Amino acid sequence: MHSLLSRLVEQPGVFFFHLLFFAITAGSPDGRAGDVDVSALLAKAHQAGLAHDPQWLSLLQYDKDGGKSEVLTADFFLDAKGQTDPEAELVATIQAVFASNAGEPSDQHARCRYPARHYWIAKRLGLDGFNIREARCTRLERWARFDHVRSLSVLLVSGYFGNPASSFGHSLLRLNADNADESSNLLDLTFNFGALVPANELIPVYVYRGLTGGYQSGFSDKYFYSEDMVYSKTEFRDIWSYELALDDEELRFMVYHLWEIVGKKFTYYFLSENCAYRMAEMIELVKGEHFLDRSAYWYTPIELFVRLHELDRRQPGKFIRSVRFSPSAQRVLHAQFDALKTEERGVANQLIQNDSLSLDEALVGAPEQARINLTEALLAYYQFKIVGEQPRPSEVLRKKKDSVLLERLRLPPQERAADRLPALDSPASRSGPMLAAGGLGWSDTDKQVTAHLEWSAYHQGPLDENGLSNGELAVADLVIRFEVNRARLQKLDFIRVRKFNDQAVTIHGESDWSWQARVGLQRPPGETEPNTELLFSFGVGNPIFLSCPLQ
Amino acid sequence: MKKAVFTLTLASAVAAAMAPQVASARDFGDIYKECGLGAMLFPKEKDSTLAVITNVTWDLGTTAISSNISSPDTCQGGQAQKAAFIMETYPQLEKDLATGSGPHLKSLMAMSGCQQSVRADLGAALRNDFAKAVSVPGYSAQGRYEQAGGLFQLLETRIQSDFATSCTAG
Repeated sequence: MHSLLSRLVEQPGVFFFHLLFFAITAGSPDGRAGDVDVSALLAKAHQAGLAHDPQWLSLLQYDKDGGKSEVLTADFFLDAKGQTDPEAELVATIQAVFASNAGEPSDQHARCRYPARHYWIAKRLGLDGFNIREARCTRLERWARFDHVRSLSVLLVSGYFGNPASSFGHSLLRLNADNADESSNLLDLTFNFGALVPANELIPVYVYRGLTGGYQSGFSDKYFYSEDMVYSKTEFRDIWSYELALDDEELRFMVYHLWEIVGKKFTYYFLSENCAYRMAEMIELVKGEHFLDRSAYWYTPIELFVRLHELDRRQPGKFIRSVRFSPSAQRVLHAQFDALKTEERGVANQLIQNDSLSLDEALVGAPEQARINLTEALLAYYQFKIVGEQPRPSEVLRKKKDSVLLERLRLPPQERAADRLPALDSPASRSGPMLAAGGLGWSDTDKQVTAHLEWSAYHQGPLDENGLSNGELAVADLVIRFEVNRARLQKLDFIRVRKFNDQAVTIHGESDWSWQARVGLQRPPGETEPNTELLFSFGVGNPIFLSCPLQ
Repeated sequence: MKKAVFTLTLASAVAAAMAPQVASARDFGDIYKECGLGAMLFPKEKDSTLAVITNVTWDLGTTAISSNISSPDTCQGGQAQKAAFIMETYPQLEKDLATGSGPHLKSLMAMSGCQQSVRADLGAALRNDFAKAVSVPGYSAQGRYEQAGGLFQLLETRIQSDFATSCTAG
């Protein structure tokens, strides 16, 4: 002790320096802001070329050329030139995230507003503690629920022929909470990307503006139950949930970036910079693999998932952890009817058909289980029909539904057995949507071999590897016929849609018609001149399924 | 004197601890207005020529309860979350209450703020209450707002009357 005091007296300057250093490091709220040399970080970042790193450009949502950010919202950028100058934005970000926030609300600090940028910069510059969550970012913590989120899924929603914009399907993201029971995922946070369309927009205007960038768009965050109500319970679309193979860091990074980007606006292009494009960008950011290289003119949702499967085949388990199928409410309804015994189904159809037949009369003598089965199937049916009559379902329909509802409420509760529904393979699990085909033939007329080549920019059909189980959708389907001395356009379908009604079970009143529509050019049969005609066709019919669909 | 004061203080503390935790006074109507629940319904239930279009974001989460990012503090969690859930998923809740089980009923019970051990009983009690509500003439004529508000009130009332000690106030 005596010798220490002696040294302090003899070397007061050294002592004072150590005292000051101790005060600085002990006094800083996080031990980092106070001793970070921002100038040194800027120099290091410049030396490392971070401003033009692909991940930095991705974080700023720069376009493929790296020339400009696609984010339109000014407060996404910290520098006035941030939308076009990634270096300026990097400098502003480093200065902001490593600044002290004396006097500023914690949640407004740049680290809380741009956690992904901070995380990435700190990691790339080799700073300690880059992976530590900031306790002061209370809004972020409350929103992200880091302690509960275990994984992230990207959802493929099947196409919906009721709306041209939805024919090619849809995709969205979901943060999966740590629920032992998957049926409790209704409260998971979900991110949807779409156009901001004014109310009462006319369809032709919507189509034009959607194709030409006439709308702004953005990510919205909602609970999964909202999206489930729309896609599964109202539009009756199937959903495949792809749980991505992300480690904890990748997951955290993705969540951070979603926080930065949700609510910010973009320009919407239906064919290219759409929901699937933005989802693909997010996955590219964390996984480092390219998803958008092949998208020159369009990018459909299924292409994202085809690419996931392709990458996962090369490195099994590195991209896809699992794929879970969720049938639409309509599919569940048909399964419920299919599960009824023949006599039960007969009673159900009689009740649907005959307004004057009361439920009590129809269920006379029926055992309790039959009453339970019937009322549940009928309840699902009437709810299905009510959706179809929104926004103003008929009073008759509502009363029928409520009569069945009341009857079921009077019967004992019973956990529903899992509906006997086979899990459909994802349409993306086998091949991409582009089609190329060829064939050879013999022309009796011309006495020569002919060949034809078919190319379709987008094709999904019931017999395709990537098939739709109940229809066909083809866009830009071109067939060229080759003869010895010429090649001729045989047909060009701009769009061809077939919707088959493939339900085996009959529910009274449900349409069993199938339909098809086609717009394109075609050379008339037998026509020898190189003339093509513009063709519009529409047809209805009843398909006959001779066996189960090929899988 | 000191002993009397101590006893009075202790008695007050015990009374306060035993008193049921009364839920917030906000009713469904207040939450509906403050949190824009009317905007949450699927566009098909609005009068819109684009009623079938859903790959469309009608807002960026600013008019309805989306999550904690843009909702005002008074619309986050607890009663507001329950009210929004009931409003938006009412048909599914009808179905799950009818059968006595299902993901929407389970989620509602999870949001109730009640301990896991009482949720099954709460669900069963709610089912009975709901059956009485459905049996009332005029139920079919009610709109979504009335029906959802009714179910919300049934839940809150049942929690307060029978499960208050096992549930936290929303």
